[in-house]
Amino acid sequence: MKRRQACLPACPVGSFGRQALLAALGAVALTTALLWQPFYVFACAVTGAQAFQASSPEVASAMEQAAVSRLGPGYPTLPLLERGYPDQNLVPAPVPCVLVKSVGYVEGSWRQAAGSVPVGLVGPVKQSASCGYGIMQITSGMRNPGELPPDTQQHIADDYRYNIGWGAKVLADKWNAADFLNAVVGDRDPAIVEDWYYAVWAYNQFNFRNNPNNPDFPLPRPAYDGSQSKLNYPYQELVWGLAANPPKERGVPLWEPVALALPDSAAIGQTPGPIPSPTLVHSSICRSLFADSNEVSWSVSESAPGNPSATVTLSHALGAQNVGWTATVSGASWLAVSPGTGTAFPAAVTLRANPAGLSSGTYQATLVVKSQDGATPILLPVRLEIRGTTYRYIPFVPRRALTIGGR
Amino acid sequence: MAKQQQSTPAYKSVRNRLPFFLFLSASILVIAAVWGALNQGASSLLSLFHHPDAPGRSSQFAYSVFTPTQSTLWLGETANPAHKTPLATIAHRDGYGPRASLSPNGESIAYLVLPPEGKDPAAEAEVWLINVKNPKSRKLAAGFDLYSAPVWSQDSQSITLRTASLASQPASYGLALLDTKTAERHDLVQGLPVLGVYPIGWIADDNAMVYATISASGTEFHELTPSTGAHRLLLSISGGLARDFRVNPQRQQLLFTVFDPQHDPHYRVEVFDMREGVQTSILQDPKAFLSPVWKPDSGLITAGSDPENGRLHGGIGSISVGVQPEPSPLVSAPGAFFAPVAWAPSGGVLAARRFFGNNLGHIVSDQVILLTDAGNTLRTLDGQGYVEFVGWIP
Repeated sequence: MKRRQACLPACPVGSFGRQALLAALGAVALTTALLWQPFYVFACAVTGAQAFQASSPEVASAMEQAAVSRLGPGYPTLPLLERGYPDQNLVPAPVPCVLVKSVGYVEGSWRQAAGSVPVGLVGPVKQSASCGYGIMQITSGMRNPGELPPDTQQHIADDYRYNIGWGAKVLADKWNAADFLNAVVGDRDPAIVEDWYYAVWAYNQFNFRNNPNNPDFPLPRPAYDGSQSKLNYPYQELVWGLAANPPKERGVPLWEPVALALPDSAAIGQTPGPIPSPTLVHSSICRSLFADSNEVSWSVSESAPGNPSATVTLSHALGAQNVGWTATVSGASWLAVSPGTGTAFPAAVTLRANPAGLSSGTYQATLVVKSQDGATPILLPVRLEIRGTTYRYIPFVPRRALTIGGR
Repeated sequence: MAKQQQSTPAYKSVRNRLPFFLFLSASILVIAAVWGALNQGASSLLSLFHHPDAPGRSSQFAYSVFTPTQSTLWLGETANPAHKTPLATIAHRDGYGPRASLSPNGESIAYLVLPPEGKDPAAEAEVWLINVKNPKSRKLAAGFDLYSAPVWSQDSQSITLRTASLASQPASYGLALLDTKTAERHDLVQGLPVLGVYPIGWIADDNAMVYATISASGTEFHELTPSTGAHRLLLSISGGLARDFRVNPQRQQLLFTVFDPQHDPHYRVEVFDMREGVQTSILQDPKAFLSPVWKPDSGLITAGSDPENGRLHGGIGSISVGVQPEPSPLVSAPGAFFAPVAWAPSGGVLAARRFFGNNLGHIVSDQVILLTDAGNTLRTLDGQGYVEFVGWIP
């Protein structure tokens, strides 16, 4: 330190040389450190993606829609699911709702954007070192550009609803593929959540790492409930554990708990094969309400706004139901819904906007539909854009200026 | 004054030096108290006076308390539940606690941890070392598999760690030896294309270590000599899935359980003599034996059991390796069952897990308890989180 201070006004060449050498070494170290990153960090399919961080109710709603393949046009749909073993047929069946929710929490804690991004804002997508993207941590097809269509890869990264839909599809694909490995539980009925044990295992990695008999995991071990280290459990037991012990947000569980039973690990042994269903099994269909669109939006001009309207069809995940419901508008006085109540599903409501008195800009509201059976409500975003009157700029040019030359 | 003049010279001498003796005694007491408080905490001094449950001398042990984003390593005492000393608070990735091991000399704890920003527990775990007497942590290296706890060499100078490459197909594993003083790394084996690799411990002459591999064909035990790189297959268990590997204190015999779905009964407790190459089945039952451990200086094995186990009925029992009578029960309790963790070096206290539930598939909760060798519960380890036992201080 003394030497550096002493030479500051006029340092000898040797000292500068040493500094230069140190700087060069630093540069080399920095470059090495940057290049030392695993190559897969640079090889992921989508770089620099920005994602919207949805609220928990929005995520839950998307998961319920994805579980029954009702995310809407442009979103992933579920394949038909195989039922039976060894003889099987294809049936249109949902993915158990609780599994989509629990897998989504174990994978990405219901976060599409990185942890620093607040709810309701857009920021960098949540991405793992192994190219897992978003809430469902989709890795298959996301390691290199072109493994999936570019639009698909982009949507998986930047659209939480697409990500969830793709995750539900992957889970369904795992279900359909399990019989190739004889990894079958019970009668292989997709309506029984416990029969999805192997499919959930395969969603992570269908290898010995997740075998419940792996000596890495203590035996015996209590059921995972979120309070223990994840190191003590194979992946599917984490999903089972959270299904029964959903995380809470402001003291409210994120989903209805389902105390799923685990299969007898001794029956699984070393190499997974057909195993019986646990004695006690569960079904899990989301009790949710659906609208036939994901959003209602209008764009009107300020000079002639009119009274734009739209009809929304409401349905229940359990089909036709004689259940009372209410429809209200949250966050806007310019929007009305009618009727405000009903006694059965399916039903239709009309949304009507009254832009009178509103200046140009974008206005947002939410249609809230609740049913008396406690099903997850509809939260439908409604957007009204009022375009202001536009004036073309015509430059004023004095006549005299047009005279060229002059006298 | 007159009386003083009549005193004998000897009495005079003692009397004159009385303040000095008093001062010396007081000083010794104060120094002892300060030394004790500094080294073991003030409460340990109190523990000398009232601990009716203490079975003889108090033993120290290390344990961890997990909470989702950070865990704490503690030093505890068998005789005094109130006396516990924090060794380290370890921040980690949400949900992933550390894996810790106590050195054989009891002076250090090596632990693996996935840092808060870490993403891949199979490949990005850091290994740290903490001095038990003077709790300071230092990072040794990174890039290990968090799922496999460090295995100490008997001289407490090095640890063996596992590496994993799960992205490759098939997955492969390796073992690396790390000098705890210099952090110098020596890869022992790399790229093993098996289902799993499990470092176990070192054999008697400290030149070779033992590890297990699990493949589709069963479990194999291997001896590896780091200095030469030589491998030797010790034992192959066709079709069986072994676990709970323990080398005995003399490091000549290997204890483990086997689950073998192809043969009845499915569960066995086995001992393999690594010198003689002799494999002995100690216990067999259709239902599981749990976590057998060696009892120091006794030639006994202590094992826990599934509640439906026909030998131990959910309790803990001890059995002699040589004689093989029926196991003698140590402890049983209705509505609970047990798995031993480790005997204290004195053999007087056993750390065990107590499970509340009907059987292995239905466990509601569990806790770490300390049992006397008579089977009485000495105490339960508790903390503000999930408790795991790390090891006994010799």
